[in-house]
Parts: sequence; C-alpha cells; structure tokens
Amino acid sequence: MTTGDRNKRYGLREAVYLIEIVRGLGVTIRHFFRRRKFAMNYPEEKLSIVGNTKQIIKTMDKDAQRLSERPEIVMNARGKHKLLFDGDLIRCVACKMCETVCPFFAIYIEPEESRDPRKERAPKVFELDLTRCAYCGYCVEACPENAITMTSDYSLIAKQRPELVLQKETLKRVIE
Amino acid sequence: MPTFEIDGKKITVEQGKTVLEAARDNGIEIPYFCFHESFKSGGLCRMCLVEIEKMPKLQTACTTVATEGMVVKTTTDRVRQARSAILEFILTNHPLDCPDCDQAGECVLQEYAHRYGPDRSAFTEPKQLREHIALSELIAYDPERCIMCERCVRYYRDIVGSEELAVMYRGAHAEITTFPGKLLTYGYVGNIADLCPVGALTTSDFRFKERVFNLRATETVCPLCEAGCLIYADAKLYTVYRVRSRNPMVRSIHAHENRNVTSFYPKPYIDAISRSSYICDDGRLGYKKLLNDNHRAIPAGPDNRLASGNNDWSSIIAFVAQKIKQSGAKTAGIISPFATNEEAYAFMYMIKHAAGGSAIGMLRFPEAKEYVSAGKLRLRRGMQAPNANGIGQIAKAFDIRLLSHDEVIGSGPAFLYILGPSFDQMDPLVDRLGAIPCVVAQDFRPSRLTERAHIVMPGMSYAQKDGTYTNGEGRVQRLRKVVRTEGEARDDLSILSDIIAGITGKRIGGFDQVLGTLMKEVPSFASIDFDGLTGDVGLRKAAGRLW
Repeated sequence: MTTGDRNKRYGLREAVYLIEIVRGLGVTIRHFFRRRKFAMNYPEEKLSIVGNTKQIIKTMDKDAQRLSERPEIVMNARGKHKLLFDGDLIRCVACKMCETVCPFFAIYIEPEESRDPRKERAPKVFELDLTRCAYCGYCVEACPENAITMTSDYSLIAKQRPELVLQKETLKRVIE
Repeated sequence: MPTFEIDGKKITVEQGKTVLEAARDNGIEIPYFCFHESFKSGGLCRMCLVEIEKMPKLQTACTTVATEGMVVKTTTDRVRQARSAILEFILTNHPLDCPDCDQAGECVLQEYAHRYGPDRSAFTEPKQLREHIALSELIAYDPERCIMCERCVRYYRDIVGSEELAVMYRGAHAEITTFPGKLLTYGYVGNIADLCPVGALTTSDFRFKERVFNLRATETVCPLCEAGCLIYADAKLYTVYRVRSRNPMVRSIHAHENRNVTSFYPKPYIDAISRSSYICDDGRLGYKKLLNDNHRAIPAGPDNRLASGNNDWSSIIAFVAQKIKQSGAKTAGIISPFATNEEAYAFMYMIKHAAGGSAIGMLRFPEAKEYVSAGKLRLRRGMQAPNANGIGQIAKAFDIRLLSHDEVIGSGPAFLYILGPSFDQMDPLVDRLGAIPCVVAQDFRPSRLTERAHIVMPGMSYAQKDGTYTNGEGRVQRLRKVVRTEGEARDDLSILSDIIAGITGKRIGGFDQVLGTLMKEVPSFASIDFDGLTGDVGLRKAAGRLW
C-alpha cells in the first residue's frame, strides 16, 4: 500500500482498524518472546574481536546470520593509535610526515636530538588529539619508519577532554 | 664569441664561459653539486660529466671552457650511466634517512637521486656511522651526509678570505674541519649552511625547527643595517622560522625548474643579486629580535587618557587627529629609520602639511660593526636600521631639516608623535618627555616609551607589512609581508592615513598609491619602475648614494 494515496478506496479489512492493530502487535510480541539481546553492559562488556574483514567477507555467504547475531568488531578496525618502541628507543624520528598529512591537524610534534646512534632526531613532544582524529589512518600510511600503528581499541572514554589528547608515554607500545 | 653545439642546439657564448654555464643560460640541464658562480670551479663532484666529440673520456662541464665548434652531448647513454654511477658512489656512505634530515625538501642530492640516480646499490656493506661535529656555535656538521663538494671550504678561501675550513683525511674518512680546538669566527658562518647542497651543514638556529616543505619563502629585505641585503624569509602562519640569503644557486635548484636567475635580468641586477648571495650572521639571526609576539589586545595602552574611555581604533584615531589639529604648528614628530618610505612620506605629510609643524627628528641607531676583521667579505654598512637614507631624501623633498631626537624634545612641542619601532633607543629620553602634554607612540613592541606615552597604537613589524626601503647605496628595495598578524595591530601606513583623513579629510591611499605619489614628488624616486619593484630583485636606479 502506498502512503498518501488519497484517491484509493480501501476495503473492509483496512476500514476496520482492529485487525491491522492486532497484526502490528503480533510483530512486537514475537520479538518479545524471541529475546535476542543487542544492548551491552558497556564498558564492562566489550565487543568481541573476531578475525579480519577479509575472513568475514569469505564466510559471509555461509553464515549470513552471524553478523547480526552477536555484536563484534573486526581485528583490523582503526582505533586508538600506538607509537612503537624498540626496547627503550622510540622508532619515531619526528619527521612530521604524519603531522603534514593529517587532514584534521590532530598531531603535534616537537623534535629533539635522538639518543639512538642510528638516528638523528626523536620526538620530544608527540601529541595526538583524539577529539580531532577521524581515524582515517593516513598517519600510518605516511610514516616512513613504521613507528605509528592503529589498534582495534575503539573505546574513547574520558572524564575530561584533555585526557583524550594522548602524549608519547600514553601511546607507547614496546616491541621486543 | 665562440659558437658551439649542445644537444643539437647552436649556442653563442662569451669568451671564457664554461660548458656548464652556457648550458644553464640556455635552459639545458646539467646536474652539479660543487659548482658555484662565486668560486673557481673545482671539478670535485664529477656530477656534471658530459660527452664531448673527439674527446675519448667524459669531461666535467664545469671546468671545460666552451670553444668554437665544440659538440657537446648531455643525454647519451654514456652520460646517463656516468651520472647514475656517480650518484651510487656518493650514496655509498650517505644515509638514506631523508625523513631524519633537515634538508629533505630542498636537498640537491635528493632531487638528483630521484631524477638520475640508480634504484639500487651494489654496496652491501653497512654504512659508516659518524658523530656530529660543531664547527661553530651556529653550525653543526654531519660528516656522514657530506658529499665533499667543498663549497664551504672554497667559500672560506675565496669569499671570506680567512681560510678557516679545510678537508682532513682521505677517501671515505674525509671530513671538513677547522683548526684543532678552534671554532669558526662569528660573522659570516651561516652562509655555509645555505651553500651546502645536502644536509651536512645545518644552523643550530633552524635545526629541527620546521620541515622546509611546510615553509613559504618570501623575497624581502634584511632591515638590520643600511646595506639592505636581499633575503628570503621562510615562514609558516604567524612565525618566521629562518632567514636565508638569496643565493642564486640555491634558488634555481629549489624552484625545481630548469631556469636560471641570471638570464632574466640585465647586468646591473645580476651584480646586485650576486652581492646578495651572502648575508651576515646578525641578519640571519636578527629576525628573532624583530618578531612580533607582543601584540596588545586593544589598540590603546592601559593608561590611555581618553576622556570617553573608549579604547577602540576609531575613537583613538579621532582623538589623535583632534589633538594634532589643536596643536597646529607646535606639533612635532620623531620617526624611526625602520619606517618604510611610504610611512615616512605619510608621516611628514601629516606633520608638515596637515598640522603645519616643522620639528621632525629621526632616531639614531648605533653603527653596524664588521665582525671578521681579517676577511674580504664586508657586508655590514652604516646605521643598524634600514631606511635612514630614504627618510633623508623624502625630508629633503619636503624641505625639512631632520633634527636629532634630542633637539625635537628640546624644542618644546605641544604634541609629540613617535613613529616606531624605537627598539629601546628612546628609553634614555623617556624621562624628559614629562614636559610634553601629549605623547603618542606607534610601535609594535613594548618598551619604556610605550609605558610612558599617553596613547599607544600597535603597529607592525617589518615582517608584517609591505613597503619600500632605500638602502645606503640609494637602491629602492621592496619589503614584503611575510607573516600574518595576530591581535588588533594595524598596518602603520593605514593608521597614518586614517589620522591624515581625520585632520584634512583627504585620503593619501595605500602602499601603491603613496609610492606613486613618491615617484611624482621626490626626485630620487622619479625613475623607479613600479613593475621592477614587484619583480624578484625589487630595485631600480641608484640615486642619492651614500657610498
């Protein structure tokens, strides 16, 4: 039935509203007894991380229902960033490629002399403003040293905005 | 005038020109590292190898003098292979960490490696790691990046004349050093960072501050002495990050174009450019002194004595105009030699024609001293301010005898207008201003004077406005706006022009209109070509020479 078709003449079933009301309620009642749960007790419960997008697309045909059954997040989703450290030394050379490429001006870098003999410079300050970031991943692509990556950590919870401006120390992930 | 052929193109050049210069002047690219117009060619980098008919081996274009009937080829496979091999050889110990290096973005080696370099290296041995050496407080030297073009060594030998740099050791161990335990003398050190085609020599002033590809270079004039060297000011948004000489070599490579500065201008301008290939260290570091980070939020100072209590621009300009009208012939002014020619004209017009006063003084700045006493390179001249000559000429055209600032205060004016920036030069006299009923200061930088003055109007620094300066030689040179302005500061010329409009109701216009008036009314500006000023060199006509 098209909406707003004023010239259409309705039959008896439509004219008596009661039948349609009962039909509508039927849908509601069916979902009530089916008890499929979508809401979660976030942040105590979190989305479970499954495979990556490629695997999921492969299995999608067989198991088309699976995605709607339980909320999930894929492993290669773009979440909070990490700066990689080789042991004690940061990989970043403060070349400002990410700062330059960032479309949202979310990154701020101040270079200094590096302690690493193989490198000339290192970041004295590395600030990443998550309130500005749109998780486009350009910084990861631009990085010549593979010093920045994105994790699947999607939860950005903070009591105050400054907490979402991440510093070098809070972004640290040590690679052994 | 020998005629010879490069890549099938017939070229006639002056006697004694090298193949490299001839090719460059005619738009044929031959890559090079070590050649520089101001020194003797050394044939050190071997990058400019070309094939010359009837010569069995490839020849360096920078040392081969063009002769009649020569046939030069720059695009053959042999030449291409040689270039690629030379680059591979240079890159054996050169670190391939361009993101790490400050020169990336303006590096000649980076550019040539992209254009002519091999995509791989036959050398599998690890690269040498070497420590940085400080050649002076201003210069850091990184031996691993050095390609031994010896431009810096030849600069000290041929241009400065003090032979402070030399090459030590041989082969892969070669490095540039000073005498043991000695550093380079302050004065003309910074130029070697401009000359260096790679990132081996960097100034501590700019090191790690900003990436060069984020900066915008503006052609302007150094305001720190009367020599008025032509400079590039590299800036991003509100900040000037460094000042460079307008070294023609560096520029033509930066432009990533196959063009050459020398071919655009007739001879006198080439002299002017090559004279401006080098700047002194004071000029290089001086931008910090002139940067404007102290703009006031409101146009007027906190204790401005305006009856209405309004501190906005229009009330202050109306107040000043009314005061000048009241004071009439008792209006006096002191102008800083940092004012541009246009501001000087507007200022003198305001005092002489609009108010009818005649006591106009110019601030005196200390003389610029030469640093390297033994050297050949002498750039610093006259007063440590840019425009004393220009202001003097405009005063002459107005029939004004420029007094000293002492005499102006002594003449007992009812109204004193001080057009800054005064850079603390007025400070000793501030206590004597008590007898003057109204003192107005226009400056971009807080000083004792701005604390004492009744009205303070924030103007702009040299990096924020357009104008012209006349240097001691009489050349009129273009000052350009380099950075944007924060706060409520206004262009000095527009403030003056608004005040004049407030007194007489007549507008004198902006920078270009005032310059047009100057050309009509002041004899030494008469032959200036406006188009010439908008060009790169920004100068015409040497008039009213001081030396």
